[in-house]
Amino acid sequence: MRKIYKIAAALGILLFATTGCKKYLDINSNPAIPQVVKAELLLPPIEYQMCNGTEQDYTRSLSKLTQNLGGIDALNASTTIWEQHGYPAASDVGGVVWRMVYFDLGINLENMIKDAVANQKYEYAGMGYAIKAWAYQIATDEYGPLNVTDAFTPGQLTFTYQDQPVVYDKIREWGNLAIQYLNMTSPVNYSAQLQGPTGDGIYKGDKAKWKKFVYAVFALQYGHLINKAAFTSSSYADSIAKYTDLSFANETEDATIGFNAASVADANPLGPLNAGSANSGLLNSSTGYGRPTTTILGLLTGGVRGTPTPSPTTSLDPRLSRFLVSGTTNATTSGIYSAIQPCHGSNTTNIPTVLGFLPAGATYYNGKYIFTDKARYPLMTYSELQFVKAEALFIKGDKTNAYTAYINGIKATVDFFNQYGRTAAISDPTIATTELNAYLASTEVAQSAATLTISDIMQQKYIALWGWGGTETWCDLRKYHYSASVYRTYYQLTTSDFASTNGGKYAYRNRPRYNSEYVWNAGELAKWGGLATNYNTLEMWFSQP
Amino acid sequence: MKKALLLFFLAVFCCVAHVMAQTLIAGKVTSSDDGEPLPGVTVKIKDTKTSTVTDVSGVYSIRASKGQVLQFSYIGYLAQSITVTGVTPVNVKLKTDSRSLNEVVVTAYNVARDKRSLGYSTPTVNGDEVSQTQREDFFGGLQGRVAGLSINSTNGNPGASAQIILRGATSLSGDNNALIVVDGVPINNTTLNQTSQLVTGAANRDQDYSNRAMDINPADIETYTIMKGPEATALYGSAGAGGAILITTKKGKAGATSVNYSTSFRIEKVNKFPEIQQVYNSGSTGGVYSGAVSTYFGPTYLPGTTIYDNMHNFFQTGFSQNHNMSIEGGTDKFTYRWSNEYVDTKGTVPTTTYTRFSSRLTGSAVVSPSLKITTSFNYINSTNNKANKGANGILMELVRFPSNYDVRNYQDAAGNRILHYSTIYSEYDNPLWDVNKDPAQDKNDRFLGNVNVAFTPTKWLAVNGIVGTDVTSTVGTQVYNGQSYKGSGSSTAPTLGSITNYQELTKIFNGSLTATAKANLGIFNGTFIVGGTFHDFNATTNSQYGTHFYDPNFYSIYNTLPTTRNAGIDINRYRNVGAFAQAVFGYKTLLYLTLTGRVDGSSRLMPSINAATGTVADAHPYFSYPSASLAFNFTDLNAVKEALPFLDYGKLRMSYAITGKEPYTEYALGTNYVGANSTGGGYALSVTAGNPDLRPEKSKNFETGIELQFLKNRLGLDFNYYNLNSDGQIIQPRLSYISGFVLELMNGGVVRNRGFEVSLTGTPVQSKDFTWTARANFAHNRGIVLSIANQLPELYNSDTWVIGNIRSGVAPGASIYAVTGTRFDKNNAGQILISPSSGLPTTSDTNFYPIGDRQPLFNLGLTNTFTYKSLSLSFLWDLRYGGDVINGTEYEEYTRGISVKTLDRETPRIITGVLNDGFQNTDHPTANNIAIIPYSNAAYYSTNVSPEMFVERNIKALRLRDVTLSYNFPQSMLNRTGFVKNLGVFFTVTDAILITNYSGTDPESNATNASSGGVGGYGLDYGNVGKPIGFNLGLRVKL
Repeated sequence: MRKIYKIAAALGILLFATTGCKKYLDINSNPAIPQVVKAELLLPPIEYQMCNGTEQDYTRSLSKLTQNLGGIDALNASTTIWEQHGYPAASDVGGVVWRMVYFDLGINLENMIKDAVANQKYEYAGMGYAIKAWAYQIATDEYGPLNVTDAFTPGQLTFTYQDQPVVYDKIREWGNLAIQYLNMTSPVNYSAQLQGPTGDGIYKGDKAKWKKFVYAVFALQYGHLINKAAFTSSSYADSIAKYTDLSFANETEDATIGFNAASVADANPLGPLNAGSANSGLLNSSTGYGRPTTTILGLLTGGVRGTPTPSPTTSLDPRLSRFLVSGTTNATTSGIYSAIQPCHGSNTTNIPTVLGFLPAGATYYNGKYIFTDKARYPLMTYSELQFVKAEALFIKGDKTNAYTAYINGIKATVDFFNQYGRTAAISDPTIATTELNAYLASTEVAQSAATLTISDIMQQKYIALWGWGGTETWCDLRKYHYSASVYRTYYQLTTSDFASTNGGKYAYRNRPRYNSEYVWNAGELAKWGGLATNYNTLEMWFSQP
Repeated sequence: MKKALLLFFLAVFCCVAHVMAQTLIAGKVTSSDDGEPLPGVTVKIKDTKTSTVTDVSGVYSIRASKGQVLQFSYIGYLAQSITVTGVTPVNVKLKTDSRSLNEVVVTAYNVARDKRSLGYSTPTVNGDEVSQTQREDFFGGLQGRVAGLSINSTNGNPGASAQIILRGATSLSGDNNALIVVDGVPINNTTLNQTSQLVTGAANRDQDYSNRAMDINPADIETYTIMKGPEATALYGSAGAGGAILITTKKGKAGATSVNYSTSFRIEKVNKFPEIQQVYNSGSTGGVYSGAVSTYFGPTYLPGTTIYDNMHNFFQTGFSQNHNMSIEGGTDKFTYRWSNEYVDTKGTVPTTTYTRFSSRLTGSAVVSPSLKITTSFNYINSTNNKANKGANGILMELVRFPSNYDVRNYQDAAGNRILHYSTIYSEYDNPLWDVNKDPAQDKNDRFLGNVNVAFTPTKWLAVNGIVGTDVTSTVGTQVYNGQSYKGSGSSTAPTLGSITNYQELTKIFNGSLTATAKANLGIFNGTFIVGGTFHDFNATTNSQYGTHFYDPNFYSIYNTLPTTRNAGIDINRYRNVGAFAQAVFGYKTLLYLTLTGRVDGSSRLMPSINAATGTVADAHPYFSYPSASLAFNFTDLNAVKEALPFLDYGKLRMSYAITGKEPYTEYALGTNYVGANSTGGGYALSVTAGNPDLRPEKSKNFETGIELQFLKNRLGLDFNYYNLNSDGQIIQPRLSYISGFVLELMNGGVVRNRGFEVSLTGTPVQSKDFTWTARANFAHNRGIVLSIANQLPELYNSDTWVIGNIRSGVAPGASIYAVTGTRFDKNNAGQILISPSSGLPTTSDTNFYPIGDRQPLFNLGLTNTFTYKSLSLSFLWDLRYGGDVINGTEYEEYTRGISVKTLDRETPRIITGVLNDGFQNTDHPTANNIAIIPYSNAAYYSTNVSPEMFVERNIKALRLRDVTLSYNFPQSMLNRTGFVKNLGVFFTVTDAILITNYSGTDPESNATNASSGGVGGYGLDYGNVGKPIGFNLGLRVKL
């Protein structure tokens, strides 16, 4: 009998122990980090990543494909390969936007939207969908097919892709959702939060401007479809005109991301502070990146309509001295603006970087134009949209309005510089109206609607986007199939210039991120021909008729 | 009343009469070995209940009648019986029982088990055998002494970390280290993990941190009991899934207080250096001199150029001293032992040191006959000054250093770095600059305490409670000077030096309560154990990082630019509870069946809020598993005894056990946010997806073996075979980012380890003055990855990707110790394809294939001890046979033209292969006919490299790990002093001889450090300095 008591007591203790133990064991969450994060605190890193993701791919891949920038390290195959329109094997370079869309924004953005919708934080929901539309637009224009159906499904390990028509539709769907939420008013006022240091680094929560952001995405999207028969027949061109008018009214409304420049991670990655860091930074290899090319130098020195001046020291285009750095090292290079020829940079040339000069006794480069620590990072601008509008109306045949937009665009690039391009330690002077007018009156600018050509529009757009708008410039180049008549200074690669795997063709897409898709989702990639070594030369849907 | 009275008188009378017949017997019991008195010896009159124990001086007295038999018994000694003759004193010399020491084995939680009843092998190693090697770390001294125990140290520097693996790795990504248990309490043996613990988040390869078992003073250890299979550790549950090393520390012995002091001094020399060519000068290619590169494809050095022997000029003679002093003594009721150690080691790499002070106090009190309390406190303070390792560690720096400059000139009069071929941003450091200007230091303060309460209320029941605590504080600094290669940044964005500070506080609090009941039912006997345990681990690491030193040579976080400062915190906490029950059923001493069941509760399996989905999974923290073992002592059968008279003892054993292993990391069931330090701050999801379905890894082990003793126990054999399947491997593969994450911890994969172990012990010669004992340990293990989660072609450890396209990676069907790498392009027939334009092979396929297996075929340890009177010589040979080693140092030397293999660069050659000319896959491929003179075409060395070329196959390494000659001065001589009880001198040589077919310095090498999961960088030699030879001279004295 006593034994039974003992057993009962033991069982009782055991039972108590198991329930008590669960409580004792319940420490499996990280005390250093919150487990649930509100939409408000998800927004700042999302906005930072919008810059970080696009900047990294721009610096290392797109700036070279577009010949915005190049390297002087011709011996380094991993950096010059992009100038040759190839890609380094087994590398994640050129795959950062993929990471941005699916991981850096990814579920963070989904959770931000989820919290915002569930808790009636409509401005956050609107911003969330606007950012989502923008991000997928950037991504599809770089990679083509994307997954827009079942991404982020817990437990799922392989994913299918949908082609661009589906993706483009989805982007407009998200854009419209954004407009819908931005038109709603939240019961709680979040403006203090949005304007604070952990708020909205783009528009400080200004819903009207966020709507313009969405319309800008729409305008850009339609602008990519100029080769489609529907462009003129189904009035894509009119849509562009409408959306550009609904969008930014001037350069003060540009979509740009701000920084405090207090630390490396809080500074524009295109600036001097980031130039030496391992994973970001324009100059992460001091010789492989960040040198202006003959393409941009030519456009700024008489090449838009005429012949570029050799060894220029000055130009009628006021943007030359504001964008680029002239040589300072010695008598032979002093004052001369020089640039590399893509694929032909060499170790011996001494082309200054876009970061400007090193002030005497300083640790960091001075910075220049938008290549400074404090410069706002542009995502989409008024001038960009004016050129999109000009192009659309030009194709449609409305030359007069096209010309107006074209001139607006050029003027706006000057406004852009004056507004955003003067944050260097020792900054360049503003571009005076007289300088602008002199340029507008020059032979580099079409003087009438009748003499306006598509080349004028696209090359001026190239200049406007130089230094940041890699994806859009690349879309333009691809739309016109790298045409030498449209892009007069674009260095046309010779057969031997092309990367060996290209088969003599220009690049038309970047391969999805290597360590994401090639390693772990190769089955799906194979369906799209993605495993072929020349997949990067396959033309995308958007630029095809 | 009358009756009562009568009885009383009768009783008194009888009693008195009885007393009258007895005499008082007294005497002294001593040990036959050293003549020391033995306190606490039980003296019992046979067949009565009368007994006594000897006092501190070994003296006893007891009343006994003539003809009665006195039985003297004492643990560890052979019992003696003496018939009372009336003569007094009766002095007794007890002989030690070499067998009886092994009769009882202390298993988990200090549960003593009769060795005959164990169904698994439990090798034990004597503590002094290990400490006499004079190594600072006990595990280094254990290497080779136990079959199946593999110690793989990172390199030969003081304080280097080591993997301690029993039998072979079973987890692909988890921790495979054995559990270290001191006096029943699992202690902290972690190695700092830079990636997760420090704000810099660097990979675990350029710096090393000691694994914390390093702190234990080897001289405090009485015995090591090695429990290899999961059955043995079923009692430790999840934590013991990788086996356990149970350490029993020395306790005070009752008797007169004695003072022990020992000291030894050691000098160390590096005796193996990487070979470098000193014929060709620097240059990029074509024999053209370039003074701006660190590749050596230039012309030969001009005649008359001074060539320096920088290898020898760099290393210094190491010197260490070691002092150990202990005081012990006590009574039969109370004993104490206080031991102190001071070790000061100066390594062979300049500036490296390891200093340790350890003080340990152990007391034991018999509170009442049924209650005994043992407590110990151990305070340890250690300091380790380290050198960088890996790509920018001292050896690679030394190898790359131009031979026409003197390495000793590393700074100018102004303290600036002397440069030879480039700027501070791109010239690799002079190793002497690195060790002097880039300090790295760890300082530890550690407190270990434990209380062991043994309560024996009745004869058949023993209750044992243990509570232990282990608190370690590590304060570390790691600096790169602003002029150092790694600290300078780039010319466009100079870093101007960097400093990382970290403070790690690890607190372990654990305990166990076990009750052991013994029952005998005639010829059947049973032992029943129930117990419960808890374990609480809490480590907080704060770290700070800053760059841009104002004063380039003052290393402090205050001396950095405020905007560059960054801070991080890592809190690693987990808890475990366990309950177990074990029943041992015995039939006589012939047959034992042990059944064990255990339930584990793991906090790591408790749900955490899934930040990605906002959901909380159900809680399933408990998992349970059983084991069974059978021990058959067949020599107890009369038939066997008669048939095999030469066989003294024989046991067959067999066991089957299942063990669960909890996830190797915490907070993994839910996705976590991490703090963003980018503009605006906020939070973003971590790269790792939470997995609410995560389950423990399950291992199933079958083991069988035989144990035999022959020839009056002069020869012993122990054979063991096991087959261990580890299912549901917890791995962390990359994902398609479309999942929203980069990595996920998931179950998937099976690893099978199969092997056998043989131990032979023998005493070939045993005479009055001369004894020769020998022990051989042989172990063979094959660990094969049977599968990994469906989709994965390869799973690799990115920390190990240190040079070229070689890394520690596993693939289905390959060894768990596989290395994967890229391969030259080949045609269908497997011939190497040669580019028709360059005459060189190509590597366009970027997939990684298993190209090597680092697992040795077998390991053999051979210990011999010769004793002639007071002179003793013992040595340990250790043979590693087979398995590949990756010579990463040679890889870099080769591609830079530093390797001696590049000396024939002026000889034209045609690479064997076929031209990739369109006919390569036909029946008649074109044989390569393009001759190359590497001297004029350095691409031969940079393009014509395939990871496979640097996998050195089938490496054999025979080492004389240590050899000790010791002499004890004769007792007669010491007696004259009156106070010296014991005096001895010894001479020990460590890592004396290494004979190997490995072309690098030392095949025992690790490219990462012990914190890296899975098999880590085992067998990947990249920039590691081998173990130096050490000569120790010492003395020990007992007062």
